[in-house]
Amino acid sequence: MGGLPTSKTVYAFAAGPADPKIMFAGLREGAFKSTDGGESWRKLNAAPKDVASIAIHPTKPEMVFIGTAPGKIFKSTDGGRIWRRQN
Amino acid sequence: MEAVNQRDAGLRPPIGTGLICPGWSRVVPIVGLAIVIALALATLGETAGSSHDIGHLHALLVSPADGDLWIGTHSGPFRSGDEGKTWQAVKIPADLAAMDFMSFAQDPTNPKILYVGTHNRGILKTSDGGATWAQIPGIGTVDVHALAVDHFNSTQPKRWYAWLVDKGLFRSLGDLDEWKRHDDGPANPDVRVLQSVNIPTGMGGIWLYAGTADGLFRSPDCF
Repeated sequence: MGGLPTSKTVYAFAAGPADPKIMFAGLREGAFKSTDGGESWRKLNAAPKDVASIAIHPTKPEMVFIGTAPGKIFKSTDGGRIWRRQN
Repeated sequence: MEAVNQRDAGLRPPIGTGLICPGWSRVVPIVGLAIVIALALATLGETAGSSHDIGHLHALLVSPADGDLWIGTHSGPFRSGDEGKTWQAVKIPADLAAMDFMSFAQDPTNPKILYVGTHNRGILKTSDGGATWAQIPGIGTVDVHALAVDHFNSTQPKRWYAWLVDKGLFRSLGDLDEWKRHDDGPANPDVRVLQSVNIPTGMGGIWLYAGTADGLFRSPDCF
């Protein structure tokens, strides 16, 4: 663990509007975050799996949303550490 | 950054410069630097609220206009004004009904203008925040899996990108009236998401990232 898998499908990707070196990638295996423009990645262990899409709030960069393939929405207000299911 | 899986037969010169513009390369994680952090306090707790079934989801957008969430699903676009707790279906005219709303791109200078890539209707556009819709004429009824826009340099026309299944990466300048095929895209042609990222390439442009069935790739946006 620790890096971004290279042989898995990346369904979702988002870069920070204020700091584009902060990136999120979403896979069926879960969500990953980079703070150095993609040089290194760490898995967000509390994020949901089956990630279909990721969006960062345009004016609140710590607020991140994940949509999963089955249609569940999760929100983080701390840059991806803690996630709350919304629906 | 190690460059692998380059698909282009040669290196492209960027428009208007004498520089060499390389093609797609894998975004390679440096495993040794990655740190696994167990977040024991993190939870996946459920909150009170609607369990409105929105079905199979493909795309998600936070509108800079009002903070509303938009999602693209198998059955159409939905909108939420309460951060995803409840959802309202966005009505699409019957003659534009489409399967699978795959991707969003919002006009960076007018957030009421929103483009949606669909599985079988090409790109749909609303100019009034979702009240009315029209089909973009210049690209046809193709399968658009991913959309992106680059307007970080406001002195230049907006650069729109669309990934068309079995057709490749297309680009349009300005108002999406005309599209030109750019290349085959990353080595794995199953592109799921595109985004322009405002990180300088050192070649006068920024990067275009692509999530694919074989990982994450990027290409200098110098074409």
